[in-house]
Amino acid sequence: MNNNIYTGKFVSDCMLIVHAWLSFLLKTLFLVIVFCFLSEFTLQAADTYPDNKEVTPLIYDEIPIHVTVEGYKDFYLDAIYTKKKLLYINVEDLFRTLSISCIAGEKGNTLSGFIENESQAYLIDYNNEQIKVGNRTIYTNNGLIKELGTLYMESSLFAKAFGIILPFNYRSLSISLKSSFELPVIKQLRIEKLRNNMSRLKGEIVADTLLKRNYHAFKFGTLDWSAASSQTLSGPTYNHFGLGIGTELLYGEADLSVNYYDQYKFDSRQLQYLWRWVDNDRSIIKQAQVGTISTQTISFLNAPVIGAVIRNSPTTIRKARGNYTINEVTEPNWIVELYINNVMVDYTKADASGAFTFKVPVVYGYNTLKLKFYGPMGEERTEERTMNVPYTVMPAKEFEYGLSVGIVQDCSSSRFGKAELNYGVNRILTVGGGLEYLSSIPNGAFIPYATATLQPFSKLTLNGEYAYGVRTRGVLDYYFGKDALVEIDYTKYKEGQLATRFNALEERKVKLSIPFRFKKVTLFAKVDFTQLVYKAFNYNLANIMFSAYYKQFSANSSTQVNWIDQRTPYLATDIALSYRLKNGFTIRPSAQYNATDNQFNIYRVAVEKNIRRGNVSVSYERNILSNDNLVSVNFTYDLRFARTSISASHSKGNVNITESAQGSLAFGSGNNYVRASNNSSVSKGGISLYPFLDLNRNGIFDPGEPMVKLNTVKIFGGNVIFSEKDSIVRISDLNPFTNYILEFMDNDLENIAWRFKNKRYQVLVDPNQFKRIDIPVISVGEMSGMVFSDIDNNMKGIGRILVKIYKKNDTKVVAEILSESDGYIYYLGLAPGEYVVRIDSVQLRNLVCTADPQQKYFKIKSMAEGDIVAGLDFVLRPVKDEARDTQDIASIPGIEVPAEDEVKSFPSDTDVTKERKEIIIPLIQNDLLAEPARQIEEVSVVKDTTAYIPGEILYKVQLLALRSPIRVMGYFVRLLNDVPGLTIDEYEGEDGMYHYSTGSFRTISQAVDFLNIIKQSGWNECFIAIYKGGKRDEQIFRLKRTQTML
Amino acid sequence: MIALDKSKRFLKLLFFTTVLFFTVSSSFAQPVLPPRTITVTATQPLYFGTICVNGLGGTVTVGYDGSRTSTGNVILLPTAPTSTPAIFEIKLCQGRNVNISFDAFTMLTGDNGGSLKLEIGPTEKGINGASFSTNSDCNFITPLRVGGTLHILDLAIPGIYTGSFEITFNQE
Repeated sequence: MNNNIYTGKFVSDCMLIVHAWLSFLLKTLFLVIVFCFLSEFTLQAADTYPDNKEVTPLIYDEIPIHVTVEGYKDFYLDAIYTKKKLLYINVEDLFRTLSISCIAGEKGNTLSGFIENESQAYLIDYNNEQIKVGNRTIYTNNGLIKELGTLYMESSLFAKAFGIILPFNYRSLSISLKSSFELPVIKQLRIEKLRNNMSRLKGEIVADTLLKRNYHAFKFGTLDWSAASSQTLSGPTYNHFGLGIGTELLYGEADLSVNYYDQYKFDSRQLQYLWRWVDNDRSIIKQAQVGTISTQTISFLNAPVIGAVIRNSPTTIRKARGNYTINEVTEPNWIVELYINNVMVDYTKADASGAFTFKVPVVYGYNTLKLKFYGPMGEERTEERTMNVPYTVMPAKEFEYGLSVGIVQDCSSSRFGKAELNYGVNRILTVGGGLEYLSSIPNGAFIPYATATLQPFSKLTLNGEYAYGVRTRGVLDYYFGKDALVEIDYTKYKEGQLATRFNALEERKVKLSIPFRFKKVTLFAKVDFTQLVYKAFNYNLANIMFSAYYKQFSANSSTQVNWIDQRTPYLATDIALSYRLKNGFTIRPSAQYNATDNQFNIYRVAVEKNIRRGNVSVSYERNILSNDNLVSVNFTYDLRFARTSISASHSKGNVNITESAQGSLAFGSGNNYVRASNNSSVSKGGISLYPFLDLNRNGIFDPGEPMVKLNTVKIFGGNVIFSEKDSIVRISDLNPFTNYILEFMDNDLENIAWRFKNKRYQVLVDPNQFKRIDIPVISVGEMSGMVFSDIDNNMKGIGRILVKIYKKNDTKVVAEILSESDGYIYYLGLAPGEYVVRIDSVQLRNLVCTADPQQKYFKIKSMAEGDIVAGLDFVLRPVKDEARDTQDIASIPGIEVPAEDEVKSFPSDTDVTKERKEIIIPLIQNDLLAEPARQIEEVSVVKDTTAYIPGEILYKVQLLALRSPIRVMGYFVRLLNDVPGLTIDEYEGEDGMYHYSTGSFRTISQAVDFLNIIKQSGWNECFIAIYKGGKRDEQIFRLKRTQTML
Repeated sequence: MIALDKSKRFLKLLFFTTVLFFTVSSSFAQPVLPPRTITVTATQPLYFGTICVNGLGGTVTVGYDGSRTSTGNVILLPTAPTSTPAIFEIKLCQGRNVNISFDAFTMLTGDNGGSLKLEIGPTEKGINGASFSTNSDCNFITPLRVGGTLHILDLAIPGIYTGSFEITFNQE
């Protein structure tokens, strides 16, 4: 197989070379011919350069080069490949693509800007053949050339001058670009990415459409359910049932959940309810909760609190400086997502023992942290844990408060209250304080407290807290190196305090964690030391953990040691290994070794196989301490509507089996669809998208307007559901009161002429319901045409001509198009309306050409499938020809008069003997000669929309005249196939006839040549018609015809 | 502390046991010790840390040496401090014998209405009924470490569990 591939490549390369040589010969021949016939024109260009230059004619191929840049998208560059095997790159094109500053000089002979930074200014001087970069000057001989007003530079000079290395691979016609500095375009992308992340964290995302909340007094809703049963052979059976209901009630989210365990007597604490309201746009109260509330407390609460909370903290995320670390454990190799205020900010993978670490960004204000866990192979089995934030940081001069009151559901119905304040003094200091009250604390129900957080720089955070009658605490976090952390945590408790369940007088903690890499091995080391100081002794506890990853192998070792003062320490080590086989099995042996007793406490081995939507595992565990052998088998499987699992275990003669299932239902997503999910739906929200073709363009989904099928919607979070039964796109599992960005791409629409009216929506999700959003899609039109060059009546398509489209009666450019190598121009994406299309006047000036016509008007109609306008053709002619016809350059439409010195620099005939460096560049690309005529499959005749200037005389080739207009498509197909790029204009004359003509020329000689081309195609019944100011002028016509015949 | 979501696959239990107050200290309103020279203070609580259970129950044991092991489908989370044994301070002159006795089981109650059975012991000095002689000077304390085993039923209710147990110290 390898040989075949090699042979094919070889043949391909040979063909490429042969083709290149044929092309080269043809181009060379063409250049020679053009040089002979257009010597006047080319000599003019040559004289623009200093006389002392040694110039030799250059033979070349113009080729597109595929450029790859690491970290950036691939792109193509125009380049010139010479006979001497030198590659010349379009400097401006390259620099603009790489976002390197590049300003063209007035005459196009210089390019200037800076590389890397402003101190590295550069100047590419074509006239003096030198490149200045900073203080360096590089002189080059034949390193700079010019074509069509564009400056090209030899590729090796880029490395020498700018540190941009362009190794050229001729076989693949590609360049793998490298640079000695960070390219601006890469830098921009990096910064943009950073900003995007920042924007996301700050909740400052730019959208073109904002959708706020929809408020309802009552709206149902969502429903969660769960059931589990456990049976023991010759033992009891236990059952559990859970039900949760989610609604919108009184403009807020209202959730109710009840759990029933048949082995326990039903307790009121198993009924939980919470009403939650959020409005981040308000200033006094942004959040309110009533029901089973949760709040961070100093005192220990041994039961839920029923009460109310109000805050002015927004639920959006505003990133502050710095980070803090959390270390947790889940199942081995699971993916863990970190959410701050319900927005995912990071994710990581647990190691062989299930341990994972997060570097949590510090976020302003009161926040909630949540972790979500996903099994390997994307099973999306999740659990959620809510965590406390260690300290509060506020933006400078901002104030935040929170008020909580309630009754603790303990046996004495303790009363609880808390008032908390935080204020950002300046950028580095946040102070706070408040009062906490818990009636069940016998020796001090009121706990006034104060806090301060100091962040002198992002890697250092100092946090202090004083709670009267309870404790004084200080925490220092310092990050060093790449991600290493040292944390010192000291707490001194008031002796005899009963607010917490802690008996120690002091708690001293030091933590050090260092991640590092050694070749392909990722390592993580962590040391924790805790000392609990009691009156009579100190209890010391240390934990040393190492973990390592190498490909599919991971290992984790955790050693715990504890001792009292100078007494003998107790030491135990847990070791866990994991190896993932290629067939999907994972083997996990683990053991706990007790060094004090010099024996293993536990051996365990588990084999796990992930299947699609599920997981099977078998494990054996030998517990030496309890003399127990446990064998267990677990099977989990995710159905579309429920997550199920069954487990069986055998231990000490007992067999135990447990089955469980849970799922949810979400209503109101449109078309009577009930969304069944194996995940929770209560306290979540959704979006129903109704994409439709907005025929009348009013942005409203009107009756009769068809729906549009979508296959892609971009959203950060949630599950997108594309239904087979309808065109509604449903997005579930979103967090309520949270803004989401919905993005649509035009390329995803099934019709190329369709566009999303708005592409980026910011949607504030409503709780426990699907929010309906109508997405208007509009159809746009396309235009096409040709740009020809006309040199001595030789009409050929010309590439790289800039064509601009304007709204009618407006100066704002709607679109810019570069003509393709054969002169073809095409643009899709014009909204219905009237437009004007013109050749770029600056380029015309540089080329010293005129455009014929100067501009064309066209109209895009509103149609479901999009309107098409073809035949928007232009002809470029050198000014010299116009001058011959004794026309003043300044009077020629579509051309700006060059500066006086530029005009004077045009060459004289006496320069013909000079050797010139300038390449002889005809306006017509020589490779077009060999190009076959473009096949035109569909032809339409367009109304003559040429913008005529009063009194201006134009010559056209009339093909025929009829009493009624042509309505048959393809009438001129054969002619258009023979003469590619031809545009046929329909003109209703004063004689009532419909005249069909083609071409538009300012000189009779050009028109005659064009007439001959038409006749050669077999269309003999044609003649030259003359128009003055847009109208047929019979008198002039006769006169000119006579002259021509003579 | 960790607030827990009950509706997820794993049931998560945070066990926090406070321990006996069988001392002469009156500030905690505990039973008064016999008026002998022995003095006992409950210093450190028995702490099981944070664990997860997967439907099926099991046990989690904190030994008097501070080691933590589990059986069944109990997953131990290493949130620091992971676990601590209960520690009593015994102040008694060297060479005196002390006998310890305690109920084998006590119940812990959860903040969400559940309950769990805690099996007490063994202690650093032996099982229930063990006798040992103090080895400290009259002015110094003898720490006594006590472990325990928590029995977790299938389908246990997630929450924070607390309770207390008593040990009787008899000076012989």
